[in-house]
Formats: sequence, structure tokens, C-alpha cells
Amino acid sequence: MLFTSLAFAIFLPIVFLVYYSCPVKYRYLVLLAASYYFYAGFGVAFLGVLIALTGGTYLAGIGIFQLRKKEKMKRAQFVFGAFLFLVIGLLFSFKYLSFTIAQVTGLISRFVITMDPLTLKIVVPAGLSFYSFKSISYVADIYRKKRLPEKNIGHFALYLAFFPDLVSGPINRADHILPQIAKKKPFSYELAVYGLRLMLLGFIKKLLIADTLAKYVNPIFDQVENYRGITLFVAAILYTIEIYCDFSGYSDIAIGVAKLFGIDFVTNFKSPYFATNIKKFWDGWHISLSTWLRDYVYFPLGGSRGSKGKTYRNLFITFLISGIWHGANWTFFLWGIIHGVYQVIYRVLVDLRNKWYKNKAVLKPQNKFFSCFKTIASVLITDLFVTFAWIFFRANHISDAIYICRHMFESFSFYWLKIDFAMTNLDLATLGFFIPCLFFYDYVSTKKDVILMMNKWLLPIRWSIYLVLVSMLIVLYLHGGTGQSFIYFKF
Amino acid sequence: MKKFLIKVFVFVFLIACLIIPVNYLVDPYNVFHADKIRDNGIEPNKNYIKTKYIIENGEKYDSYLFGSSRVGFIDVDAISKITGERFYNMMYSEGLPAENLNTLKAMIKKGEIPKTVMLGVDDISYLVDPMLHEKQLFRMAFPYDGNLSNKVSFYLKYMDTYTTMQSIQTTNAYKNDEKQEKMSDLSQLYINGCENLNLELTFDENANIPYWADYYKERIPECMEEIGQIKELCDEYQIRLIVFTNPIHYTTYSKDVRHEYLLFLEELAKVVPYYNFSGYNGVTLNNANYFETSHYKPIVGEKITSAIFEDKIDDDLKSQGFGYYVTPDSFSELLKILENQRDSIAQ
Repeated sequence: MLFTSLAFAIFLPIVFLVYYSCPVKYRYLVLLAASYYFYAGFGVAFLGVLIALTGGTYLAGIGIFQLRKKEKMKRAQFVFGAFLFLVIGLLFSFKYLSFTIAQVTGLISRFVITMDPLTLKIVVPAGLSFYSFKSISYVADIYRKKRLPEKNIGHFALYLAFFPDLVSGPINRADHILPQIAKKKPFSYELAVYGLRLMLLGFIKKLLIADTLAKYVNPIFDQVENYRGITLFVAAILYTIEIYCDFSGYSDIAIGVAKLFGIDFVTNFKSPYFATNIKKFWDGWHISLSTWLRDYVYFPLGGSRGSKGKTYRNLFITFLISGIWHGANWTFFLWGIIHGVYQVIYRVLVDLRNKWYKNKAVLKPQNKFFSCFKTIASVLITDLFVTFAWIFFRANHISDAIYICRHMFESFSFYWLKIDFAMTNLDLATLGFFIPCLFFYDYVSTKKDVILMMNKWLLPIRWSIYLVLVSMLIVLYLHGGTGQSFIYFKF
Repeated sequence: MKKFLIKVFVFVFLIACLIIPVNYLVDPYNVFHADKIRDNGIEPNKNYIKTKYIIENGEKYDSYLFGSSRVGFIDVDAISKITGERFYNMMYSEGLPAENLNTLKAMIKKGEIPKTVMLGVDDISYLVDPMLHEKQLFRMAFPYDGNLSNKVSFYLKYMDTYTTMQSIQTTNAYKNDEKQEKMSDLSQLYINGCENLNLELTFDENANIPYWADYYKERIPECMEEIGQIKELCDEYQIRLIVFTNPIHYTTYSKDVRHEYLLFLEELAKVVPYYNFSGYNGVTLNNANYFETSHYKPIVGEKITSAIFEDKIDDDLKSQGFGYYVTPDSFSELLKILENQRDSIAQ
């Protein structure tokens, strides 16, 4: 059940009404049943995987806690190790086994005996990457004595299966969600209105911007050899906007839906394309994954506590894992490497700068114009580096990405841009209106909470804006609305 | 909570008022006016309208002719006279076996079991993917076997306000054009379902080029599976199934042959016996028998009717494979005729 489907439009109000009609102490059961129903829509067999993982994680959490309580550290370590092995093994078998076998048999056929590379058709349970990370962080926190195990299995099951973040995140932590589930909160009008506004923003990003862009970007990335020059360059930039609108749009909808039920999710995006350096970009992009990797990969590796060399190594490994997490393809692997290299270079430059400043007197304050110019230039340069990495992320094969990089600056004829994209006037108008609006919104969001600011606007103005936006959304969506699935569903 | 629900309800009501009335009233594809369609110059969704009509008026008919718009010029009243059955022409633009199968299932589910089903097939049957029609408002089938969400979704697609507003311009232009030739006679829709059999339109020799769409893609195995299912369904409910191939204009047929049309005929013979009217023959080579390179005229429809129901075929035409009854055993003979025609045309 996609958030953009009619089925979800029917499902959500029903769950909402049933949830608030129920006595407070049973409400979590309504959400749990609704979440399992929602997930069964992706395949009943997948529900088995989710329930099995829920049971396993719950028991592992209690077991490790008991062992640690009894000071049986080695046993606790063993159980934790076995748990990690099983969850990562589960993730590997569904997501990477087929790819690994194909690569190995490909190598054998190349160097040992002639044979067709073996491929397995394994369907990955929707959202496995997301809820398996939630279960790992839950058990790891218990193992590291950062939290107690949840006693109520229903609450825990809901934490893992809550439908808004089940299939594409954000990756909420147990210490953030479980207390909210346990707390019997009454309906909050302010939170619900905030949620609806966020959902509207998410739908605009996803349906009007990302899906419209996908219609033009996908054919180019799927047959790169037919294009060159400015077409490839513009396609890369448009994909940069598409993936942001797609994924942050999804997150906005998920966060908005959760607020309708009084649950606050973590923020997943904070104007990442206004970042002035690559580190800040990652502070604003897929925050729940970045912080997860920081807490459960980077820090355990040693973080920045060791030598500079070790810090660089840890950074690189963390981003490499981030790339692999995104999917079983060399393109994601390379994308992770590129970002790892960016981070290391950035860190080296920062270290050098700090060292240089240490030996110099404090610089004079910069004038406003220079400061503004520096910020704009930094943002543009950061975005260019990010866009370059997205080429590898989106390309179907590494050879396609290399082709794009080699040919994107060949010929800058605007004639081909018009021919290759052949954008309809309606799509041009839609993108021409909504993309600048979105960038303006994101820019203001770096300083203020725009959605909260709306409370101060007069009611007729607010309602006029809602009516216009929702009407535009419906009119444009129903006009050949695409069946694009959310990009992050495959991760 | 109450305040929130009231506000949401008022908002949804306002949005509904903005979207629903205009789409319902203009309704370019006549989906919301299926019982009394208006001639607005836009191809109505005949797939939906005709299926709904026959399901609601099952007592008026007992036999049906399925196929693309090409079979629209076969006068089913003439067939009714010969057979004594009450025929309805279920044709619509690019009608496909997969869709015909679903229509038949919907009819049977409603208790309307036909005596005879005629199925006209040709290149369109295996070159058009039925999935494409699911996005085309003038061909989209109603999901009779779907759930509530599928059914609501069908009507929601006709809430496409942008298309509706664009259609007003087309309708105005159509109404102001007095010379407009009408391919369809919409009043026939509630009588026998045929196209305008009195259409006075002569073949434009300047447009003597194959009728071909850029989305054509060969899908013979899938098509055979669909036709096979129609046969199974007819066998199960003891429905007489008559399959025939349309006489395709020679320019289009030439292109079809390069796109596996003869293989299609061969595979079809393995699935179901049929009457063949395709090939280079006295009918298909004569432009006077066609409105354009896709649709044949009612006079050709008469020949098809006579061949199938009265076994009356001109000897010359018969020797050219026109009206030839094909079974798995007799196919090789037809293939020989068609290959000879192809080779002699090539020379």
C-alpha cells in the first residue's frame, strides 16, 4: 500500500477514527493491527519475516539484559554476536545473496570455466533494511546498557512495525518512540494539524515534483548512450532534485501521518542542498540513517578518538557501509566510496585549516558581501559534488555513470535539450512553479519552522492556500498521475 | 477532536465541490452519462459504456460480436436475421481479446450467458498490450472483478479536471464544424452497437500508407493465452465460439507480415479453429472496400457474414484464402496460399 494510493486514502481515515474511538489503553493494539494489515499489502509472506524478527529481537533484548544483570558478559556478548549475525544474515540473504552469487559465478565463468552467471530471483521484503536497523539499534542499546528492554511485547512490536516508518523510514530509535507509545496521550489538535500540513508538503514534493521529473529523467538514465552533452548534465541535476523530493517527500508524509496518531518522529531532512560543505550536507540528508551509522558503526569503530589516520579510515568505512546499505549494485558501492572520499578530503582540509589558523593571528571580520558570496559559492560547490555522486547512485551500471561523466560536457547545444526532454507545457509549468517554491521553503526552513509559522496567518489566507494547493495536487495528479513507486522502497 | 473532524470534513467537501461537478457535467468520455451519451466529438469509452449496457439489458440480446473497431462495420442485424439470434456488436477502439475475456466473465457472473460469441481478431490483437489501455480514458475497462478501491479508482481517473477543461475546446470546435463526418452513429449504441453503416466516406488515395501505431509490440504467446481462455470459458458454458480474422488492407497487411502475422495465424490455429479473411485477396487489394487503411466498409462485413453463416464465398476469393476455415490440420494449406501471395507481391 503506497502512501499515494487510493487504498491508503481509505485506510488512513479508517485507522484514525478507530484509533481515537478506542479506549486509550488499547489504542496501541489498533495501530499494531493496522500496521500488520498495511504491511501484509506488500505480501503476506513478508509479514512472517517482520513478526519473526520482532519476536527474535524482543527475546534477544531480554536475554542480553538478563545475562548482563548476572554479570555473564561472555554469554551476553555471544548472544549479541549471534543476534547480529542472524539479522545481518537475514538482510544479506534477501538483499545481497543473489548479487553475490551472480558476481562469483561471473568471475568463475571469466577465469575458470565457461558458464552463464547464476542469478537468483529473491524478492526483498519491503522495508527490511529499515526495520532490521531498528531492531539492531534496540538490541545494541541494551547490550551497551543504554536502555532497558521493553517489557510490553505489543509496544515493542508496534515500535518495529508502526506503518508510517515501516517501509522507508525514518529509522526511529526505540528510546524515542517506545516512551511515546507507552504514554497515553489524548488527541492533540495542534499536532494533527501540523501533521496534515506536513503531509501536504510531502505529497507536493513526491507527486508533483519527483514523479514529474522521473518521467523525463528515467528514460535518459535508462539509455544513456543515446544522449550526450547538456542533456546528461541537466538530467543529473534534475535527478538531484528528484531524489530529494522523492525521499524527503516520503519522510514528510510519514512524519505527518505519525503526528495524526500523536507520535513524533525524528526529523529526516534539513534543507540539505543549502549545506555549505559536505559534512553539513550529511547533517541534513537522511539524518536518521546518518546518525544510526554514526552511533552503531562509526563510534564502535573508534570514531575520531584515535589518530587522524584512524579517523579517516572510520569515516571511509562508515560511508562505504552506507553505500552498500542502499542496494546490491556496484553503483551504490561506488557512491559510498565517493562520499567516503569526500568526507576524508573534507576532514583533511579542515585539519589543515585548523592547523594553519592556530599559527596565525585571528583574521579580520569579512564584509557582508564577501560572506554572502562565500556562502553561495560553498552551497553551489557542495551541490555540484553531491550531484556528481548521484550520477553513480542513479546509473544502472558503472559503465553508464562513466559514460555520463565523459560525455556530459561534450556539447552544450540547447537544441538537444529541447528535443531530448520534450517536456510538456503543463509539466514545465508545474516544475517551474513548484521547484522554486520548494527551494524558497527550504531556505526559510534553515532559519524557521515554516509549518509552525502558518499558525500566525489569518484563517482565510491559510484556507485559501490549502484549497489552491490541494486542488492543484488533485488536478495534476489525476491528470495522468504516474504509478511511480517511492525510490527508497527498493533499499 | 470534534473541531478537527469538522474542519477536515468541511475542507474535503469544498475540494469535492471544486473537482466533482465540473468533471461529472462535462464528462468528455461519457462515463457518467453511459445511459444517455452525448455526441461531443470525443471518442466515448465504448468499452465501459457497451459492457454496462449489455449487462443491464441482457434480456435484449443473446449473442455478441467482439473485436476492435474494424468489426464495427459488420451489420449484426444481418447476422441476427440469418441465425435467428439477437446479436449485439461489442466492438470498440482497439478492442483486445484480454479485455473481451474480462467482459465475457463479467457477463457470465451477472448470469448473462450468450448463445454465440463471435471474435474478430487481427494484428491489433497481438500487437497492443492491454496494460496500455488501463491508462487511456477512452478505452479503460471497468474492474468488474475488482474490489471497492479498484472501482472507486476507475471513476476517480475521470476526475481529471485538466483533460476535462481541454475537452471543452475540442467539443466546441466539433460543434462548430458542420462538415464533420461521423464515423460513429451513437444512437446505434443502444440498438445493435454497430458503427455508422451509412457512412459516406471515400478512400483517400494520398493516405494509402499502413495503419501503424508506435506502441505496437509483438506479444503472440500472451495473446494466444487470452484467446485460449476465451475458448475454455465458451466450452465450459456451452457458448458457440466463432473466431475470424479481419480482412486487413494490403498496405497494413504487408507490414503485419513483417511483424509475425503468419506466425500469429499459425499459433491461432493451434488454439481455436477460425475463418480466415486476411491475405492479399480481391477484397484487401481493393481500396474501394476501405474507408482508410484500417477500417473496411460494411460491404466487406456482408461478405464475412455470408461466408461464415451461409457458406457463400466467391470462388476467386475462396482460392485466395478468403473465408477459409482453418484448423490445425488445414493451416498448412492456408499458409501455402498466403506465402505464395507474399512472394508474388514481393516480386
